[in-house]
Amino acid sequence: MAGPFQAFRRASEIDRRATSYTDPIERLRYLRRATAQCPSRWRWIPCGVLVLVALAWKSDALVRHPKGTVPQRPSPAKPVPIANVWPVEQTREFDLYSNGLRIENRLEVSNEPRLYRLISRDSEAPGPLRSQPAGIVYHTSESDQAPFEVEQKRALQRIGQELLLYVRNKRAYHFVIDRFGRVHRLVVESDAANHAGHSIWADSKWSYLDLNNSFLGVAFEASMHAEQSIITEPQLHAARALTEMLRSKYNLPAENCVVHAQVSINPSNRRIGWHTDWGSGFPFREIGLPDNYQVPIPSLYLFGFEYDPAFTAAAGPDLRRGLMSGEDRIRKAAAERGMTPAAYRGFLQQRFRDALSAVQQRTEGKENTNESN
Amino acid sequence: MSRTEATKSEVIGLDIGTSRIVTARRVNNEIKYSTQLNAFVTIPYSRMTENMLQKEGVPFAIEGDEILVHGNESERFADLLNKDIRRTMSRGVLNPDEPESVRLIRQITQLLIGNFEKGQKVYFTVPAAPLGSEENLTYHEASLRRVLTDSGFEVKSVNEGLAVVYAELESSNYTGIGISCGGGLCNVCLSYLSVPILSFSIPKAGDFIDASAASVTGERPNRIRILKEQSFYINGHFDSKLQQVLSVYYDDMIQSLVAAVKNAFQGPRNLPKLSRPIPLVLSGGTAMPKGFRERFEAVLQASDFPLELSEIRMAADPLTSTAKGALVAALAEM
Repeated sequence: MAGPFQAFRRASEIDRRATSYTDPIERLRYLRRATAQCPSRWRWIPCGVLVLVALAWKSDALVRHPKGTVPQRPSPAKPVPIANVWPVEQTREFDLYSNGLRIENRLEVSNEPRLYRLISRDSEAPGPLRSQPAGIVYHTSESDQAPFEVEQKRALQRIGQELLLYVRNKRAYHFVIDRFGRVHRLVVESDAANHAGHSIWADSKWSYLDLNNSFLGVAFEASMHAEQSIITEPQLHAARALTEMLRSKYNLPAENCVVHAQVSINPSNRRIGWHTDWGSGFPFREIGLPDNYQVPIPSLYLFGFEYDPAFTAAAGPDLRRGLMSGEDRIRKAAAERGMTPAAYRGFLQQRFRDALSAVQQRTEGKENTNESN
Repeated sequence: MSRTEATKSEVIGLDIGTSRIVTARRVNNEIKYSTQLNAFVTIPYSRMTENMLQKEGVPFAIEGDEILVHGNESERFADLLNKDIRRTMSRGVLNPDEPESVRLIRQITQLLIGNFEKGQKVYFTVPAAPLGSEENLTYHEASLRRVLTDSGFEVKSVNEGLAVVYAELESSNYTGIGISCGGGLCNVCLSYLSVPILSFSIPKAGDFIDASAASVTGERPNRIRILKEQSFYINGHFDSKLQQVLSVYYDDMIQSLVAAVKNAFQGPRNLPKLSRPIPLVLSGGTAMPKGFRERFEAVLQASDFPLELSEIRMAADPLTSTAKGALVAALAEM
């Protein structure tokens, strides 16, 4: 068994390493070099039985084709590696994964199948249709909170159960992490959930509008107004395991794992932060992600959105830095074009209207902009 | 692209398809494409016609008592003269009925590439052998290789389906299925970590649809092709005779393609044990009508397809993805 086992290990390693190459040519160069070193029987499946391993898929999000027309966002200094997580046991009741994650399936429900059109971030030209999630949006449920104490266990259980039924009824999130750290699958991952209808995010290649369709919604049973810490230790542990699994399963780039406050918008007044959950305090590093708070907010510098004092009050210092760097980008881009920041913002807002119109054409007739907190 | 720019490109990706020849070049970190129809039309020779074509900058060649207008202009002249265009290739390989095919491919290629330095590297696409056939494509590949080498290029071939994977599936580490639906063939390749695991072609593609529809409607195949590319979409409705006929033959082609793909991946020797769903990308001019992807997906889902797919999507630009893939392959070897 040594041969196949070696191939198994090698393929996994090659796959993981390849994802660290952001340039497509470099990645292909590496893969061709690496696979050329494998035994010939490994290279050609028809020649023998092989065990191919878990593939960590990535959305087109990580493809980088720098262009000069739109300000580019800095990539993280080092790509955050994606752990290799695979299913150990899958039943109707629960799924168990190799990193210890257990997902309860009892309340699983379907919704509209996920299908969305990518929008080129450079030109707003419609891109290909996708049915695979592009990232994760983290939420808080903003539901009732009983003190996390042994005397309150019945109340904690009752409130948690009520929340799950409410979320299921509203198709509000794909996953809810209850206060004991149990992960519940509510809306199946192949379908959209109503978690972030009016929303914008962008990675280095694509812009995403209406993240109900393109991103998975993960909610913590938690409140930003809690007197104790926002989430419990078991929730933190579960969030890390769930994030690892989802990133491994769909090869989600770390830059597309963000919080609701970063993506939520109000299109009617063109301001960001319609929802402000996780505007501060999200434990990015503890769940294995880079501090994405510092990423400039795409709705600001790609589509000319603004923000108000209520949002800055809700935003923590990290998110405020993201706001500032977004503003810097607008100023620099305006100067490059010989425009005032206000005029440039107007130009960006027109881009938003065009992009929104393109998305609405696609989703015409579909009411999918409901959202929960 | 100007010819001056062409000389600055390190390498060139060249897709020699039955219907079109496409070049892809990287200039100033951007990929630029040029396209010409891989077709020609003949006009009786006269000095006056020759002068007129020269004056208009129309590419042509003289063969005996005929003038051969080739490339994009062939379509316009065919329409003017109420003739059908002729193809240098048929069913994905050199057309045995057209003795001038090699010469014309050389001329169309040079028209696209323009001036270049001797030794310019060109990666060109070649189809895979038809499924279940022992027929090999050595002659076709060798002929193209000779044409290009004689012209002064340094050449290497790339499988057409693999080129689609290289163009489109970097996000899955070049793992997945690339399908190019061209004029003569549909090429399919399953790649794992950039390594082609299985590739084949089926000889039912755009030309089959055009010729079949032409025989039913009485239109010329070229006219059918133009109408198909301009306005046809697959939506299950039959608003006109042409729409109905094209829908029928498109469905036939899609059914054949799905059956072939399913059969190829069903054999236990060929079926890799992938523990994750893999993406499938459709490209090529024949896959472009609106509704093609949806129809393909529906037929595939009804077929009990043996591999789990994460998505079925269209290439970003179905007409240029194969040339782009050839360019990506070339750049990766620099």
